[in-house]
Amino acid sequence: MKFFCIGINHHSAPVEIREQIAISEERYPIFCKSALQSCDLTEIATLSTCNRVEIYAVGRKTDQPVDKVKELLLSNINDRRLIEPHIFSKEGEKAIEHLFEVASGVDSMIFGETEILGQVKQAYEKATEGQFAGKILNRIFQKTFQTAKQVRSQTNITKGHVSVSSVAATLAEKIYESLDNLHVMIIGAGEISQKTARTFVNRGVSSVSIVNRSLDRAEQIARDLGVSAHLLDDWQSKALEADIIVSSTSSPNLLITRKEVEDLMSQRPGKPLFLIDLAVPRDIDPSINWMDDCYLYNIDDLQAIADEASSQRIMELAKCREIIRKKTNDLFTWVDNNTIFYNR
Amino acid sequence: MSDRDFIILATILYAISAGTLFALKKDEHHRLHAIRYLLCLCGFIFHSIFLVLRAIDIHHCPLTNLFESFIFITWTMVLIYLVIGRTYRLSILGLFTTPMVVILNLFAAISPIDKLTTNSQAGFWAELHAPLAVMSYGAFAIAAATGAMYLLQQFLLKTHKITEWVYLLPSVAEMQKVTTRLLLFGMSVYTLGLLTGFIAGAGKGWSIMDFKTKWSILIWLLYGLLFLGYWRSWWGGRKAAYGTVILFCFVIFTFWGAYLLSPIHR
Repeated sequence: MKFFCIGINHHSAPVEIREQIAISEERYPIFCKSALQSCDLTEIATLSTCNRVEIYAVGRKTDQPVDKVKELLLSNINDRRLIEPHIFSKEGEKAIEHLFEVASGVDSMIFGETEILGQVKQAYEKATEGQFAGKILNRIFQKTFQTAKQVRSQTNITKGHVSVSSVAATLAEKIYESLDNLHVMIIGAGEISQKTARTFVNRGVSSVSIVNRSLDRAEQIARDLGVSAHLLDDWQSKALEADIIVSSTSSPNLLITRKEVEDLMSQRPGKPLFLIDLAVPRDIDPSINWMDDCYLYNIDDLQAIADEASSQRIMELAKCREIIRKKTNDLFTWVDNNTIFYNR
Repeated sequence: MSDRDFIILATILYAISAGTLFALKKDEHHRLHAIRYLLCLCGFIFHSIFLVLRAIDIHHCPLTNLFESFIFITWTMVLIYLVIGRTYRLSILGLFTTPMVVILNLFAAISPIDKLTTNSQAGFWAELHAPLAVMSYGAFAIAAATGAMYLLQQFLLKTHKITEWVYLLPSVAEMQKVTTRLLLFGMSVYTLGLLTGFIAGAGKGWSIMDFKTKWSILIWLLYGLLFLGYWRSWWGGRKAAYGTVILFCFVIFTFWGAYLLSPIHR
């Protein structure tokens, strides 16, 4: 028996290629069943995320299961010459190592991100529920979860935040007791505003309001996110309730002046205000940072914190690989001793 | 083994606990917090043994001289840290509390202030007055520690220095809430301490013109003002936090002088 993985990911292909090979929820059981039947496989699990479509499978060593799965993957593609060069495959020890790296976040686009472990768990659960996984995949996936946990706990791979919006949310947690009761006001309706609004909604803030010059545009975004929309002219009255103000407009001049914030703070004594200026040129007077109970961060400040966290994470790579290599050897030795599968 | 040896043992344990500060970069904060807490707990047990032995020895609450007063204040500080460190998950507070405790204990241990006093037959109200007053100083000391933590966190956030400390320290709002509650607790106990002191002093030749009485009333007024300022948000968080630190420094540096200038307290 042979364990292998085959697929496509952000290292091997751009998004327009990856999206063509994605396995939808509906197609998943059909794909797995036909792979088991037509590709000489005994077990299969598929991991499908926005950055990768990877198949982990156990096949009979006398056959050519890797090539057969590749054919199956390409069977629905119109122009297979475009896709084929981007497909990669790994076998035996290399495949185990790859799965360990994926689950640990070492192979992720954002190095050290933790969402991937949940996605790997889901892939395994789906395979178990559909009875596509057996003894070998069970063992391999259980070891994968253990390894990912060990990598996270014994290194700093998940430390710090590596995106501007998550840095902003983390800083908010260091100013306020929790995000649950916070009101966030987003000024501007550009892409970065939407992203930040989404981060705060996902982190569970009490309310988010989008304030924009064009109410139509603000309402459109607000509908998508399930939040409220207001005209820019109302920002000062809305800011009275706000704990966090995020500004990202294309205004050539300062939108929020020190005088305006002084007036605002005098009407809400004892309540801190976190201001995030994501605009270039800046929307918020930088001197506001030095007012009592006001905290101001601009895009460069947040990016510098995110970059620092990223570089610190990458410095952990060697440590992560050491743990993964050891765990891979252990599992492969076990597998070898139990004569479950052999190299081709 | 004399009772004072237990204080030395306790102080050594507190000093080791404070020393974990230098291991901050070791990435084992949870374990360090637990070790720090455990060391403090052991120190607290020795600290308590001293107070019990001294109480048995002198047949009074061990607050009959300046040495005992300092040791009682630090005992209260550690007790409050052990309680609120757990309740508010403020284990980092130990890093700010233990150095203060070590300094005060060392100062008390090396100063010639552990003298037998003749004023120890003060009666029930005085026995109640002294621990209440001292307990409130302990609360004010911890409020000063949370105030200092607030100032450090605020400084780091305002200067955008997102170091290890930002993640270790609680949020500024949390520290403001804990400080307000400590001030409320301290003020309540201090008020009771003052009232029991007035009762204890009545009929025993006490006068409101006694220096320590005037000093105590001044401290009560200043802390009352500070607490009201916190509660009603009269000033920003930074000024209020500075207030807790400066006022406690004032208390601790004038405590000895006020004690010496008051015949009824000596």
